[in-house]
Amino acid sequence: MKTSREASDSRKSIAVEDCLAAIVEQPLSAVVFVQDYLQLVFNGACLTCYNWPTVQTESGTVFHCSHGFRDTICSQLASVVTKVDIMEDRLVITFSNGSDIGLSLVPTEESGVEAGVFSIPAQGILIVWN
Amino acid sequence: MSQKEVKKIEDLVEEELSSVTFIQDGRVEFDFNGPIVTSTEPVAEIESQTIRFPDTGSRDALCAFIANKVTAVKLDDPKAITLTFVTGTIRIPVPAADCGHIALFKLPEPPTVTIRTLDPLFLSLADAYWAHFLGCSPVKLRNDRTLLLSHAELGDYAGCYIIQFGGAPVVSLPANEIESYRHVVEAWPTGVVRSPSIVRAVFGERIKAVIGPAFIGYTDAKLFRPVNSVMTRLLLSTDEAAYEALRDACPAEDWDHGGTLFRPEEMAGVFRGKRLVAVASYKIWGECIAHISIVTHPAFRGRGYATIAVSELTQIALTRKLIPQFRTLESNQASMVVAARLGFFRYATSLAVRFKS
Repeated sequence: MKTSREASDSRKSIAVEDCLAAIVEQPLSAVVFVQDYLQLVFNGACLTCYNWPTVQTESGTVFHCSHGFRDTICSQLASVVTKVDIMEDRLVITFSNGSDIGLSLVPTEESGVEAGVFSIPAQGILIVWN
Repeated sequence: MSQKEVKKIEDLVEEELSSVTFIQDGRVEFDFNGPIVTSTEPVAEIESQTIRFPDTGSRDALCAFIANKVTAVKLDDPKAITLTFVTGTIRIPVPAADCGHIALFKLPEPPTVTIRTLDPLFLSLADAYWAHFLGCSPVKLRNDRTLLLSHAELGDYAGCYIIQFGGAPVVSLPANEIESYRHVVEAWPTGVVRSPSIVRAVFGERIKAVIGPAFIGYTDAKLFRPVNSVMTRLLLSTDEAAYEALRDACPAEDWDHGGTLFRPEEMAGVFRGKRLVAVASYKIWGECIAHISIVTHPAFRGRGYATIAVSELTQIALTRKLIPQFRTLESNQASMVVAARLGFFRYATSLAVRFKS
């Protein structure tokens, strides 16, 4: 996994983890479904998932191909992020209700050259997993 | 995306549903590559099955229409709007207070520049350029009445050029055609740039093509809202092979609109690895306007790279004391979004009518 990252006019190098920490204590405010990818919006920060994420709830793991995938991921709307981890090329966002959304950060043939992009436009932050 | 202009909800016929957004407050937004329809209680009907949002399965059902085109729009005034697709319908109940369907439907629109908004020096230089281009005094650009002029910088252009700077339109015609059309053109109302039907009625069979309405926007150091990225930089002479590869990947029509000769010092590119996926370039208009064009690799569209490239080039232009100018057809919603995102404010709106030779 390679990561391109950038932060603000100053061009200072900021750790990916520090950038992602900006969504901790923020609610999932919107979920955008586009034809072959989706975006998770956290009040100004956006995680674009070119790989399909999985949702882990107390009922089990729901995959993109599962019936009700969109209902499950949208059931996290308004839930507050408690932590964000990167573990073995996988991004995991954990919510206050105990559920989590996981995203593989390794591009696949289906996702194209990028697995995901995290951005906070107001802060000039852009992280690309490719 | 179709190139037709969408002004009202009925115009969504033939438009493609590009995305569906579910928002924390319970709203659902249906995006048609720019125009957005909003509802809190949409109903999907697929294969005789009715699924109401937010019931279980409704999100999958509503998203099943993504990438499909609207085939019909039915207004069951005042109760609902029904968007029909080949595979089913989305029915959107209309609140009683929204009989005109206005609150449900919105179009992306960059804010309008005013004399007080844009840097005064930039505004005066832009006015001077356009006044010279049209062959009039800068004070004539914003009139209460339509101003008819013979072509100045447009030279022997066989056509009618209409541009509106915030007042009544300024209309330019070939010198030998002025008197033939004076009585009609001088009666054109403000807003004719967005009414091609009025123009078509005047020139009729003579028309070869109508181009526009087009957004012409400027930004300055105060209005500009950059998107920074390490993926972009000014192109170097050593990037020519990557530039040629981008040209080979783009359809000819796209390249004609946004591509240009390789001019590394006036181009910002976005790189994915060693591959160049978007290029913004500028040409100098007059002495100080940097007219920006953009082209994006077909496999990398919809990911914000055009915005990143234009942002970088705009920053470079401002550093060079140039006035960044962004022009796009208003029907090109993707480009309009780039303009709005980066802080390009509307300076003028144009419509070009090319005559048959």
